[in-house]
Amino acid sequence: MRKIILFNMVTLDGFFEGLNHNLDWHHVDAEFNDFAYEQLNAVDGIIFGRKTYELMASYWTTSDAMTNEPIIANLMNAKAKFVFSKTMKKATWNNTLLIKDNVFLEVEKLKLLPGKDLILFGSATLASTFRELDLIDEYRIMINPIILAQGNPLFKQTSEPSPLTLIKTKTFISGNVLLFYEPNRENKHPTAISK
Amino acid sequence: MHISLDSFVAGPNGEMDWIKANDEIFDFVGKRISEGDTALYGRVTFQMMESYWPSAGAKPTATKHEIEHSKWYSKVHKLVLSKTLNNDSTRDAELSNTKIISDNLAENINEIKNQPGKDILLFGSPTATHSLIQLNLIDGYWLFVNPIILGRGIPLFVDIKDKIKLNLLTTHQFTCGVTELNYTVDRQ
Repeated sequence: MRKIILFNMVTLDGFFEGLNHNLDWHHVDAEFNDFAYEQLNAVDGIIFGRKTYELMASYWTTSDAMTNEPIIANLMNAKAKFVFSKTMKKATWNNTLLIKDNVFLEVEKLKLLPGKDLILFGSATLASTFRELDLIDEYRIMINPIILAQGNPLFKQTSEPSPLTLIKTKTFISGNVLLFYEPNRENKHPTAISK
Repeated sequence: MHISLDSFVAGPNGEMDWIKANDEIFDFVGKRISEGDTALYGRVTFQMMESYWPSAGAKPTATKHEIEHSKWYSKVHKLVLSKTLNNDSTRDAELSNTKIISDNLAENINEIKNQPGKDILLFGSPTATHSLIQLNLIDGYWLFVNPIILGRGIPLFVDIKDKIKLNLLTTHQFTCGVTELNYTVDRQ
């Protein structure tokens, strides 16, 4: 079954973007770009919530993106994309399927189809929904060496904690540290079907 | 500090049962803290420490960690941030290597930093930590990231004005799933 991987750059204080979607604080270099390329190549679908989808679509289709990061731009534009949104009318970025509801069912369907893994970028609101529905199979959190002070937190408030198992870590020359986790599933309460 | 992946230091009611602590971590931590000569606490953490560590090493069931840390605790110079405790002469003799800082936090801390001596280690103390970070008095972050997303709780970082750049010095992966992240503050 295909895995759903959540990948995000975060600050030490837990933000995945600064105010006004600012990403200037990202520590990006050749080592990071090699990692990003390998990661993107290893999946054949990208999942987004509406806001991240719109921001990414407005960047990766520009000539700036194609000039500065041609390899990643090509992959981002070509790969199958799935955007979850109740309000979006039409998804206009190349190769996108718009899913309007039944998140759990639709994701389970995607996971059962043949193919490589799926990856979720940004999309903190959607990621929280996925986490609460136990749909995330792997967390890859890249902590950047910065305390941003203000921004949008990646992990939204939930009443239940999510215990994890650390698989491995990778330290980058830039000071970024990538932590790989799987969710703990053995002790999970079975979903209540009837009370 | 022990933190969750979402940067909390405790649950909403101060819960710490999710923090992984074992001999592997105690030995690792013990090495570094024995290199410091001063410990800094907020009042609540200090009172917790005072109620346990002075006699912990003397119990018949004391573990190796408890014996070692108890010895260290009685020797280390202690700084306590508190407006309500005070340095008066009726205090217990055991607190003689303890100095209470009740106001002019930045001035007092900077004076101590300017004196010769080894590093000052701040333990626990979320409220005191918030104040010290806000006043730019923290020079390094030695964090133990626990394998859990808590979802809510007391954050490590509260009301910070400006961004703080960091330099990663070392990391370490523990078998129980905790990751050490050791940073200094980049003041350039």
